[in-house]
Amino acid sequence: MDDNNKPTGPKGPMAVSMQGSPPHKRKSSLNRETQIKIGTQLQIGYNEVVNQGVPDRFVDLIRRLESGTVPNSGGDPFGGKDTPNSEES
Amino acid sequence: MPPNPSVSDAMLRAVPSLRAFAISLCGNVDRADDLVQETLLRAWANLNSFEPGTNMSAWLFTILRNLFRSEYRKRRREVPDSEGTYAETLKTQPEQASRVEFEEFRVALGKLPSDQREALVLVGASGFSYEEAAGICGCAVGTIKSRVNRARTRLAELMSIESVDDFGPDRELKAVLSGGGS
Repeated sequence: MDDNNKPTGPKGPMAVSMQGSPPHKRKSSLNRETQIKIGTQLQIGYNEVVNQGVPDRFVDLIRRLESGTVPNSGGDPFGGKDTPNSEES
Repeated sequence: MPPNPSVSDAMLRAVPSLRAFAISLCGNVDRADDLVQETLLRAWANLNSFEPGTNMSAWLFTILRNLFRSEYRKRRREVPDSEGTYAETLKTQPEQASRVEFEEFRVALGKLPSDQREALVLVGASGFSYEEAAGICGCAVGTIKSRVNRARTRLAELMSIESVDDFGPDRELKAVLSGGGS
């Protein structure tokens, strides 16, 4: 059997340019199952941390920032420009 | 001028996923928490550069990533923390089998180049779009896509999810060419 010379492709629109190219599902080197597996593993670890919620130290930090008892650390958030200059409200 | 309470609420709401992202970047919970704290301080001090109506979470992720990058450059020579630290925070793995599989995955994830790892985590776990992830990493959307694909391919190899025979020699190229993947 020579896959490259299949005379007819009883497929849908995907069959248009099939000479020599592998079946559609092999276009990506990872199959769907593998991608799902990786995605699941990725989310297990991530969600485990997310589900820990907000540790107290961060609640305290925000409260202290709100009440102005934390000195501004200053600094540009993107580590570049000096004084952000767009005043809101 | 004290920021609107909804701003501090939005910041607090972002903390859990900021921590998860930070841990995936540095692999160490204590350092990750310090990174999150520094991020919140920076963000607070620069709230006037945040555009209301835009994605607060993406803005915070951008700050965190940039802080990590600059810190990482400084600490380059430091030996990365032992694998235990991260695992220790993950106490509720259900079954032993999946625990082992997850452990294997975590080690494999740690072996990825950091630009691939962050792209994969942002898109695959944090739920950002390719466009948002590109904004956070300061690169083109196509770059994010190819990093994600290379990360997936490499992870599959490292974890031997698929037998090596399934891969042709040009697997990396294919992965890049396959665009969004799914």
